[in-house]
Amino acid sequence: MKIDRNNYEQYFLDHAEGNLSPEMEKELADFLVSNPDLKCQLEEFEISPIPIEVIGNDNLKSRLRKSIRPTAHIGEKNIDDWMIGSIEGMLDAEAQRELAEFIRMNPAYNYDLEKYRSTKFPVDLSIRFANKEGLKKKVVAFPKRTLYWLLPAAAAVILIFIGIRLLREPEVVPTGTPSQIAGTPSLPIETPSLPHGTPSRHEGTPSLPIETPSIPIETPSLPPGTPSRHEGTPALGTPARLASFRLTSVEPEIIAPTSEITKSETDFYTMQSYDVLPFIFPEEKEKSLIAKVFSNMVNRTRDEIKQQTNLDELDKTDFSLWNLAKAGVNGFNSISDRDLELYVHRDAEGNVKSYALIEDDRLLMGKTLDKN
Amino acid sequence: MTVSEYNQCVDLHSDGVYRFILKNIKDADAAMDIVQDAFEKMWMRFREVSPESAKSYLFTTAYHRMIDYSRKEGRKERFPSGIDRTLSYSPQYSDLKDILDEALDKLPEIQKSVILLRDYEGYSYEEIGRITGLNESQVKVYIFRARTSLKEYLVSIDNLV
Repeated sequence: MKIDRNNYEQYFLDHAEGNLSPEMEKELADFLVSNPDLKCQLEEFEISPIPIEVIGNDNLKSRLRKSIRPTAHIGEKNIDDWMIGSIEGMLDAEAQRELAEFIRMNPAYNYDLEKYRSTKFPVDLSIRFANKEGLKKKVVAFPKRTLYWLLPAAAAVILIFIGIRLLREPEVVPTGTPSQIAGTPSLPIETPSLPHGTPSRHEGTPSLPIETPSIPIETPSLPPGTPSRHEGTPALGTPARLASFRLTSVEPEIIAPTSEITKSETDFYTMQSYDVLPFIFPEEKEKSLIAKVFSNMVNRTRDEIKQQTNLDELDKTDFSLWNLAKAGVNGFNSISDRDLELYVHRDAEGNVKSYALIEDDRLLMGKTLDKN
Repeated sequence: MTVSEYNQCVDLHSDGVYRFILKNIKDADAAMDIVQDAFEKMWMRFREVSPESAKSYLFTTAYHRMIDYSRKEGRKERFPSGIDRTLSYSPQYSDLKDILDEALDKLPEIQKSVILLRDYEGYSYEEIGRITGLNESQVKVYIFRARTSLKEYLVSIDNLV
């Protein structure tokens, strides 16, 4: 039988059912080339006209595929794997060719392959997250004017803090009995010159060598031969006299004028007792417990820094604003029990590009610096 | 990760994560909450999460948060076994997209998740496994089952039409 426009429907039906031999398939293909208007009819034959109510889908498929022609690796049992593999992009070129060959020999599977291709979900671009701005983190931006004021001020505070910590000398507070104290170096104090032979206020009072910076005290010199106020009292400003004030905390004496000493001279001595000596030997105030603890902590920290760090090796570059700022932040952490960290991001040339102050993974403030 | 890199991640990935979650749970408010949680969690770990791994981190976090949400909400809608053959033709289906969405809702949650990660985001099986806590073979099996179920659903709709 030769295919023509009078019997092509039989061919189409046999083709849809897979009943055509390869020779008849070729004959059908040639016929469609010369009659392209019938191609759409052929496609309609490939979909079963049988109502779904009459036979189930499985029956329809089995009827359509009753004569499946397998290839070397593809058969009825694994064709689904191959088709899914194809749309998943898991088949290489050779496997793709074999699948195409199988589909060509079993054109009913074209439909299944198309359906598998339809299971690929296209990205639904109409779905968008509306609150993007709410998710974004804002960089805390200081007004430039504020920043210009703030940075030098912060640097100054940090420098003062470091200066106090590193440069402050420990206090030496003499303790013990006067005789014990007497064993320490003598006090280099420039005292007002008194006339030779001026008796001391208390005889036998041990001299007090106290380690204090030398403070030149300029007082008017007394005229030669000025008599003493009390016999045996050491001269004013001598270690012995100083010790008597220091160790006994004696209230300043009000000395009545004598015939030898004028009222003004007495006032002078009295004034010195009040105004000068307390300045040289300030009363040791009782520190609070917290102050003592803090003072000890600072002293210990300073000593450890001295032991572990050779400050002579400091370079100029160590004194950059950012290094000082980091030191300041660490100092703040040590006294406040917080965990602030200062991050400074530099470019390849070492210029600071941005910085951030972070505590417990939380950004407290950050700034990306302008190129200028 | 810097602030600007984090903000860039918001621009790049928030839509994708939101789309993935919304398609799974069909609740816009809950999906927004989950996306926000995922980004907040990433920000809390900005030191460990690099910009390159941010997308994977976000999807993983959002996925697990979504599982918690689903368990909490007790969403039990499942595709009992294969196709729901009692489904009647719905004339409101306008196109393939609607039919696919309907079919997607019939899939078990895990199959829905792996198929969306695969199709929407183009993740490899290995990456999907990392996100969902499955191994590569399990991912392949779930994707195979999901594609088969979806295709059968499409065929059943065709036959009903």
